[in-house]
Amino acid sequence: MLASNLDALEPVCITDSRAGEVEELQATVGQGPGIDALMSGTPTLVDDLASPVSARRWPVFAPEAPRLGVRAMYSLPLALGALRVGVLDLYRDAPGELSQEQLMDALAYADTALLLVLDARSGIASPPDPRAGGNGGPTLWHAEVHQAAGMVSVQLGIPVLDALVRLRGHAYRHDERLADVARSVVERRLRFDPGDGEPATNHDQKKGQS
Amino acid sequence: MTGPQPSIAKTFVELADTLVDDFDLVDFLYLLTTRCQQTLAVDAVGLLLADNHGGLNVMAASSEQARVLELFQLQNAEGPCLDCYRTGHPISCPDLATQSGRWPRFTHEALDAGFAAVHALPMRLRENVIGGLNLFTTTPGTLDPELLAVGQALADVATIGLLHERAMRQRELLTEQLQTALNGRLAIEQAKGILAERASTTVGEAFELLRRYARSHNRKLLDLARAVVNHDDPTVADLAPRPDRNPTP
Repeated sequence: MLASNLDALEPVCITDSRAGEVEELQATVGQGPGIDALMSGTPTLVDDLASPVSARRWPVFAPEAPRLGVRAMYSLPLALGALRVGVLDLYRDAPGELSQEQLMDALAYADTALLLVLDARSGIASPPDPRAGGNGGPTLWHAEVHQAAGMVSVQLGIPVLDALVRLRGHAYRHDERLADVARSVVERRLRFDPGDGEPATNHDQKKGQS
Repeated sequence: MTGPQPSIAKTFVELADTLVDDFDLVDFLYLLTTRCQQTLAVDAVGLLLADNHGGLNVMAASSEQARVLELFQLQNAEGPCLDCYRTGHPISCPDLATQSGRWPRFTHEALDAGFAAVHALPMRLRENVIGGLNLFTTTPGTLDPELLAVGQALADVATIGLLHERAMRQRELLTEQLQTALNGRLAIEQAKGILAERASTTVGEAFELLRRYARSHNRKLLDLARAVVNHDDPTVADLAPRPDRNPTP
């Protein structure tokens, strides 16, 4: 499920029709574990949607989902800092806990999903291993990348997520490392201005002072 | 003779006070790293947390300097802190210049940045290691064992601070908690960038703006950062007014 805000939830990738129906239900009634995970930025793991606890929490969604064949639901937010990119909803037709190992796997899948979504928005063709290369994986968690995204969002008057996408796209098109582009922005050697085709550079220095 | 003892005591009193008082995790960890740097008389301190992929990410650091941050961030893939995290034991290198084979890339960057020695202390929770506290000095040499013990105690206090946050949730697994903490850090970085641009300051100064505002308005640093990033709170405009020429859609 992808969302830029709660009004614009859209299922992006559905594995079977049951999952699709549950996603539709969640979006329609505006409540559910996926929405909670999206808004809070933390995983919402529901072992049994038919339990009284679930009914109290999601009075419209919880009783309906089992009728669609879904008993357990594990929602993992795709988040980067304060940016809510979307949610990965996993389903089970029987109640039960996610084992520690399964949760670790699910979290890793969520990270990959996040990278793929960002790639798609940046116009980047995803490499076979999205975690390899200089524009995904650990760099996406670097302080400077997010500082730069904040700065560019103000420079262009766009949301921070869009600014992050612009930075990645720029790095990809110029065959530069995202970390280097971010460093240039933070050190004010590179500026993005609305209406310009290309961002402006202050001077040719490669290394700034730190 | 007034040795480090008075400031060690003061440091722990201050941290304990913060823990039981109105608790703000990010501010707390930032405070911890700066006090650690001062109390142990080292030159830079970084606190790294485990992510979901077996690597480490920066959660807090005593310095905003890009080169220093980069050194901490490098250890996602290689370095003393990563070894410390994997083994659960403290790792020391009193003279990086003589040990370039151990962590080639890290050592090169560390020496380049002017550091000569490094110590890594594990953040442990029973049988789990959740991250590490990294100490850098510009002169080579071992750290006094007493100071190292204080460092380990500070690492343990940091772990306690992290657990403090998880008291609320019903079934909060450690891995989720670490991810949440790291996301909190990133939210702050995003807010720093926004404020730096709006107020035409450095990101370091922007951080100070955030902290001061959070304190004087009795708000959590993280909540404030989120409000700045998501334009959720009109009063945050007091922090750094948006220039009129860049209206946000």
